[in-house]
Amino acid sequence: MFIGPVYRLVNNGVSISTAISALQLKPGTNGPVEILRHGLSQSTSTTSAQTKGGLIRKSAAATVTTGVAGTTVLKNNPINPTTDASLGTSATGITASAEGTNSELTDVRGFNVLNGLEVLYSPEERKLVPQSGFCAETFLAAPPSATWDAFIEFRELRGG
Amino acid sequence: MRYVIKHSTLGYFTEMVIERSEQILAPMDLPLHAGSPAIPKGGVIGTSVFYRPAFDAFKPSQAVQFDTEADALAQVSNLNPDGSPNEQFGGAEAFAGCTVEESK
Repeated sequence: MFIGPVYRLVNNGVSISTAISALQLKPGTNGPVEILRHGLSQSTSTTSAQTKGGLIRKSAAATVTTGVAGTTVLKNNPINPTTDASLGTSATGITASAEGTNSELTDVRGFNVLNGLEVLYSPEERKLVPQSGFCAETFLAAPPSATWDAFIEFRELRGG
Repeated sequence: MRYVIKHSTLGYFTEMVIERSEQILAPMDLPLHAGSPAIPKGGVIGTSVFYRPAFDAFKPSQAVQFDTEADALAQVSNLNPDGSPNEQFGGAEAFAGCTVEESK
């Protein structure tokens, strides 16, 4: 098994009330990434409600706020190399303002906002995202307005 | 083609690192949560974190990779969405002396 560095894309808590992508990940050119874990949770609403979201692929990028290494793209180990993910408004970033084009709804689930969504894959079912492909942590239904924390934990399978 | 940020003397931009953090203190007795006692004046209600850029890479392949030149230039400008300097990231001085170049 290839052992590559692990990173975490986070939004650090953003007020969300519409069906948007909370996170978008665009792997770099040096290798694909495998998704290890992803999730959505909120910290400001105590009202029970159902919503729907999860990991999807995109054929055209959403427009996002550019990710920043060290604040929204974090190293699992501080001595890891800098992430190879491409950062940008049509690449890796947070909080979409335009959704681009969704393609495969890779792993979408319904969940209660009081519990949140957390998905940990077994090694056989980890989703792979190719070089320069797009995946996103997306609300497929408008969630109750709240401060939502989203994350995608991923391993870069790279040579460079 | 991807793009990187190069400092004139230090190296290539690799990440933002935390320079300091400040506690946010309640300016008055604050009832933050329904059903819970108010946080007294002077109690800690949050933390502000301030970052500075690190330029630790010796070559472009080790640096943060931006999708487009505009994305990299936006980081160098270091502005908030409303156009004001991003003081949390060190303001205008943070990326002074930096240029954007193609990643090799």
